[in-house]
Amino acid sequence: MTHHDDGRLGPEARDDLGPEWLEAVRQGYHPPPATPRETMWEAIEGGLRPELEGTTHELIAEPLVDGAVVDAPVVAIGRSRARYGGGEVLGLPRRWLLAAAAVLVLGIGIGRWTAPDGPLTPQPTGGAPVAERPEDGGSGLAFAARRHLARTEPLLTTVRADARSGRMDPSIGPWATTLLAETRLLMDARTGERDDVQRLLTDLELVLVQIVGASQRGSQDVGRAREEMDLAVRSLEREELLDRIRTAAPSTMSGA
Amino acid sequence: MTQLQWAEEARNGDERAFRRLYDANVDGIFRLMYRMAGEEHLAKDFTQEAFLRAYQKLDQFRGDAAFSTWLHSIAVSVALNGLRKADRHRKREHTFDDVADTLPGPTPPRSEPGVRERIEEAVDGLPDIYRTVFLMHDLEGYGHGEIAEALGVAEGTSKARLSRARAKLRESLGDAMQEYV
Repeated sequence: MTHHDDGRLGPEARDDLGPEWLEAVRQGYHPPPATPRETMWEAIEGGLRPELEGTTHELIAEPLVDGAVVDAPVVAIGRSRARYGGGEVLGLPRRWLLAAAAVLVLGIGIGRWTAPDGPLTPQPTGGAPVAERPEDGGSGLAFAARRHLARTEPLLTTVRADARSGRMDPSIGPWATTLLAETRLLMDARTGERDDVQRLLTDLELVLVQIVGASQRGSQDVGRAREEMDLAVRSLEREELLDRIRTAAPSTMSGA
Repeated sequence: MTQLQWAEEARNGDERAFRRLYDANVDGIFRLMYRMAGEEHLAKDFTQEAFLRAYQKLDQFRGDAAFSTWLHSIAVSVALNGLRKADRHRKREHTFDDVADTLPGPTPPRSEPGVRERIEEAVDGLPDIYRTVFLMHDLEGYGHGEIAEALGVAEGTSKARLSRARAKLRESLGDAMQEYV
């Protein structure tokens, strides 16, 4: 058999598999869409800027030397606060909670509406919403949890891109606060008793707490806020949160 | 001006030169990342990561191979590592869907997969080392010389892997291929 390195298929491809068959594979196996050039360049440029300005990503890239010590004060913002006390509920202002609850109720409603009636049957493949056992808290909650997870992906992606470019978008704070409130409501609702989802929500909560904490500090102490945002990104990467969210809840569920 | 010269300028901090390198190579890299990952967000992530790593490693680019080949070796490595990680998560999380599989109740009849599904299953089932060569050579048109450099193997190894990949596909697809051959 001969092989040609000058371009497309060598003749052995035709001999072995047939051009029609190969064409079918070429068209049917992960056919690439148009290249999102500018979107990707923006993200790359964000990553290049600190390099060009003489700073590096070391804070993000290097392994955490002592996770417990570094994380503790930041995590404490959410954890030590009276979650059900005072003028704040779940450690958040009531208006954020109300907004989050409204979104959550809407999500549950959509879940109930889209869940099949009668006995539950296995779904052939992933992707479509799948009902949980009714006694586990209802299919609406499970759907709402997945929808919620999908909605957090754009925030986390933005935070990561911002950290790479040394930016801090002021809209991140309110956005993360709403999602944090929703996350906590879902944690407390125990969405279907699934350990993996509960674990994902718990890890997400910690990262959101760090993001909210960093945003709140933003106007008073920019340097410290950046450090905290870098810590949030390190937690995000260490827990491989984005990959896990994408696995558990495809972005098509976000409803955005 | 060649990509080698742009790389030299980019190494000296010229972002515009790096943008030219990006423009010259991004389509090929993104296409390959998409073929490997099959999901746009992963293909984007891998492409971005590959360019960022290339920028950080520009000092190590000595110009022995074409810039594009060097960039491809970074991209393929990023993609293979990223896919392994994503696969680990899929197994670990086994999402909500697995719960449904354990529930009592009638199993709906599965329809016979079409040719496209069978092709996807067969290509996905190839070991990484065969699949990568197959995708690069047969679907994206890379030569064995380029593939060998990108994967850090001998050209003969690339040819052998391609041959093995095709043999495995023939085995897996069997009668489905008869419609096309």
